[in-house]
Amino acid sequence: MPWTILAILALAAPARAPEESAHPVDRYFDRLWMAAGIPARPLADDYEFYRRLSLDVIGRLPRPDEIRAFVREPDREKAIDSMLASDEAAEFFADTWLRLLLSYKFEETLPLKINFPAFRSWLKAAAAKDLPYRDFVTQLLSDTGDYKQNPASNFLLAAIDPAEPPYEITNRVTRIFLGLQMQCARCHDHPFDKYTQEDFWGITAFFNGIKPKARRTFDGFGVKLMMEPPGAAMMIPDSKTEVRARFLDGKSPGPEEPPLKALAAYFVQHPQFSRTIVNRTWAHFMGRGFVEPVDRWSEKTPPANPDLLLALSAQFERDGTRLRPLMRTLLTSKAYQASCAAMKDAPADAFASMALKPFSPVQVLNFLSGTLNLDVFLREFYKKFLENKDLPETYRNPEVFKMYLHQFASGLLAPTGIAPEETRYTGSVRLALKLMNSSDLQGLVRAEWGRLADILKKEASPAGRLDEIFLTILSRPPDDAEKARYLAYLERKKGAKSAYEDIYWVLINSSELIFNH
Amino acid sequence: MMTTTCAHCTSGRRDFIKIAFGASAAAALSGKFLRPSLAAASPPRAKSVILLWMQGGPSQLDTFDPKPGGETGGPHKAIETRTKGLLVSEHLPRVAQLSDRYSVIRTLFSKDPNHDTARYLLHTGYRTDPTVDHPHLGSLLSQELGTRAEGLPGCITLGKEPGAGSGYLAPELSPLLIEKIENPLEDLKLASGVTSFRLADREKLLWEQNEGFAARHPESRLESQRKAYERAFSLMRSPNLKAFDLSSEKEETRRLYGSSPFGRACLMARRLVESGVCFVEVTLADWDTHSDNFNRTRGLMEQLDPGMSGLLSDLAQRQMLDETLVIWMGEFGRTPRINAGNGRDHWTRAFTAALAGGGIAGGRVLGKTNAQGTETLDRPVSVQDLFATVYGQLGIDASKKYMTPSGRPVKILEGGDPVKELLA
Repeated sequence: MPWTILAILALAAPARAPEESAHPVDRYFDRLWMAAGIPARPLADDYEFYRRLSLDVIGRLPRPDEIRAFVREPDREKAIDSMLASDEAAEFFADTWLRLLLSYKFEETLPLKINFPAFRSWLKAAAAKDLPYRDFVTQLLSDTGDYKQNPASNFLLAAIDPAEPPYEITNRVTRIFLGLQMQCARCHDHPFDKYTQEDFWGITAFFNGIKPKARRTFDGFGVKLMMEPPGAAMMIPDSKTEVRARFLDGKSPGPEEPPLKALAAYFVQHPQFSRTIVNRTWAHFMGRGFVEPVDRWSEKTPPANPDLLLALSAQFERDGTRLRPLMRTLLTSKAYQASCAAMKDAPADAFASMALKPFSPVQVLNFLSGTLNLDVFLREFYKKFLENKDLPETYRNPEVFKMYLHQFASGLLAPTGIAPEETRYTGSVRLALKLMNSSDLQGLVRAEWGRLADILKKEASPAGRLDEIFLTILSRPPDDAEKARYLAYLERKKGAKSAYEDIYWVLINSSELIFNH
Repeated sequence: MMTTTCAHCTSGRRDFIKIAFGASAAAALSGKFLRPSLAAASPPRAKSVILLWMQGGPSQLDTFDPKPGGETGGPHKAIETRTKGLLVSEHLPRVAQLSDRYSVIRTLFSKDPNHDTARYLLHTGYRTDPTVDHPHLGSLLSQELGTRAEGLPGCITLGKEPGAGSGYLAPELSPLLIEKIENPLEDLKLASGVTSFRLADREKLLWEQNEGFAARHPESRLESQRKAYERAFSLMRSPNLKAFDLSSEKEETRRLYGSSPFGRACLMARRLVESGVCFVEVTLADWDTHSDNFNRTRGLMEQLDPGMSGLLSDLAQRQMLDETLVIWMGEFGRTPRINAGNGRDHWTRAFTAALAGGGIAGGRVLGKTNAQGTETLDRPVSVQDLFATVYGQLGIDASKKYMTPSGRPVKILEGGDPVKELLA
C-alpha cells in the first residue's frame, strides 16, 4: 500500500483514545507506525541520546564528566531543559544562524560591509531570551540605521550589492523566512510555481533605495543602513514595466505605511511563515524535513506528514512563536529519542529510527576542539590575527576569526558550492587526509598538553584509559569486542604511548564520529 | 527581459514532460543513464583537459583583445603574433610567439556579472539552479572518461578551491584540492613517526572499527564515507604521487615555466596529465582589477606569460598537445571603460577565451569586437557553445542525461553548438 494512503488511514483514526500519548508527536507516530505495521521502536540508550542531544543543541560532543553525570542520573527531560537554556545553546544558535542569514557565503570583504560582533551578539541574545520568532524576523526585515545600535540591520546590509538592484535581498528573505525559491522569477515568470516576474520585483520594490552609508563615528568607522527614497515602486530591469511594492497576494501597502514595516507585518502572518521555521527546526533535529530541502517548498512537492506539520505550526503560534517550546516538543518525542539502528523497510518519512546526520562545519570545528584541543592550538593564530595591523579594524575580532574557521571547515567537508545551503559532510577525501596525516593535527594527538596526554596521566590502567578515550571521542564506553581488540593491541605493543596514539587516531577517523546518530 | 528560455529553468520544463507523460516515462528513468550514448560524430582527439583559470575575470583588452590607441585601450602596447589579425599585450611576448599553437575566441558572452555564479557557469556550463547541483567539468570528465592514473582522482585543482563540486554525480568524483603548490603532499604523506607498518596497523583497526557501525547503518552516507577513506588511502600509496614532485624535472624545463607558483602549478599540471589524470585546474587569481588595472594586469601577465607559454611548448615538445586540451579563461571580462580608479569593472558582453591542443587548430581567431571593444561585430559565442566544443573534442555526447538524486533527468549540457571554425 502506498505510504501516503497509510498516513491518511492513520489520520482518519478517531480522536485521541484514553490510552494514547499526550505528546502530539508521539500520538501521531504511534498511530502511523501501528497502521503501517512498524513494530514498537527501541529508544536510544543513554549514551547515544546524550551525544545526540549535545550535538544538536549545543553543537559539540559531550565531555566525559558530563556523560558520566548524565548516565548516573539519566533524567532526559531535565537534560533537555538545562541544555536548551544554556549559554552554549545560544552560542550554537548564533553560529548556525549567522551562516544561514549570510546564505553560507563568507566573502573576504564582508567584514567591511557589516559589523560581525554586533550582529552575532544580537543573534545570541535573541536565542538566550527566546525572543519570539515573529519579533526576530520583524527586526531582521525592517531594522535600519546604525549597524551597531540596530544590529539586526546587518542582515539586509550583507545582502546589498551597490552595483545591483536589491534582488538578492528578495532571494534571501523569501527563501529563509518563507521557504520559497523565487529567484527564477527574477528574469521570467516561474515555470512551475505560481510566482510571476512582477511578484518578484514587487517584493524587491519594498527595498528600493536601500543603501549603506559609511561614515566616521566618534569610535572609528560606522555604517548606517538608509532608505533613500523609501521603496515603493521600481522598474523591472531591461523592461518598460514599473511595479509598485506589492505582497505576494498582489495587494500593496497603504501610502502611509513605512514599506519595510509593512513587509515584515505581511511576512509574519503569511501561512508559510510558521511552517517554514517548524520544518527547519524539525529537519535540524530529525535529519530530514517534512519538506526537503528545507528551503525548497513548492506546490508540486507537498510536505510529508502534513497534519503533524500543521499541528506543530499551530502550537508554535499558540506559544507566541517562541522556538524553545517547539524544540522541547521535538526533543522529548519518541521519534527524536528513537535508536539510530536503521529500520529496514520503514520509509524515511515514518521517522521510525534516527537518521545519520552529517556534521556541519560548526560541529566539525567543535569536535576538533573537544578531542584535539584545536581551540588551544588556534590561540596563537588568533593572537596574530588580532595584532595584524594590515587588516582593517573591522576584521580584528573573534567573530570574524570564527567565520574564517567555519569557512575553512566547510571547505574541508565539501567543495564550497554556491547553493545557499549549509555544507554537510558527504564523505570527503580532503577531510580524511587532514584527519589522517595533517602534521598539525597529529601533533595535537601527541602534544604534552593534549587530551590524550591528560588521559594517560589521569588513568593508570589500560582499560581505564581505553574507557576515557572512547568517552572523549565516541561519547560511549567500548563494547566487549572493542575492549578485547584494543586491549590485545595495547598488550602487543607493550602499552607504548604510540599504541594509544594509534587508537586515538582510529577513533578520530571512524565513521561513528563524523555523524550525529 | 520577459523571456521563457532561461537556461537554469529548462530542466523544469522536462519535469513537466515527466508529469504529463506519467509513469511509463518514469519507468524508463529508473536506471542511472537515460539512454546510451549515441556515439559522437567525430573520433575524440583530447584525452585530458588543463584549465588555466583566471580567477576574478581577466581583462580581455589588456591581454588577447587589445585596442591600442583608443580611449579604452589603456597604456599597455599591443604586439604582433604569428596569427594574422591577432594582437596581444606587450606583456605576453612568449605567448605571442606561440600563437600558432592556440586559437582565440574574442566574442564569448554571458549574462552573469557576479563572480560566484559566473564561476559556476564557466565550470559547469549551467546557470545556478536551486533545484539541481551541476557537476564541475572535471568531475564530469572523471565520470565519463575515468582516471588512468592509479591512485589519483580524475579531477585535481591546484591552489584554489574548485568552482563547483561533484554536483549530482557521486561525491567521490569531487575535485581534489591541492592547497599548497610549495608543499603539495602536505596531507598526503605520513606524519612524522608514522611508518608504513604503523599505518597498516591503524588502517586494519580502522576498518574493524567501522564495520560494527556500518552493520547497523546500511546507509548511502556511510558508503560515501567509506569510499572517501578508500580513496584517501590509495592516494597516499599511489605510485603516481611523484607527479607532484617537480624536483625530478630538468632545470631547463622548470625555467621554461617561470618561478611563480602559477608557473610551477602549470608544470605540475603537465606531470599529472602525463600520469593519466583527466582534468587539472590551475588558478591564477586576482584578476578582479576594479582599481589599478594596468599595474596589476602587468604583474599577472608576468606570471602568465612564462607559465602558459611554457606549458604549451612543453606539451608540444612531448607530443602531448594533441591529446591535451588547454583552456584559458575566467568568469567574465572587464569593461572597456576605464573607471575613476584606473580600473575596469565586470563585463560579460564580449570576453576572451583561448583554446589549444586536443584537436583545436592553432593560429585562428574567432569573432571580432569593435574599435572600442564595446560591441561584438561578428560571431558571438555562448558559454554553452564553448562547453559543446570541449565535450565534442573529448568524444563525450553532451545530450546524454544523468539522473539527479531527486530523480530529475539532466543533460550533460543544455544547448550549445561546437565552434567548428576552430577544429583542426
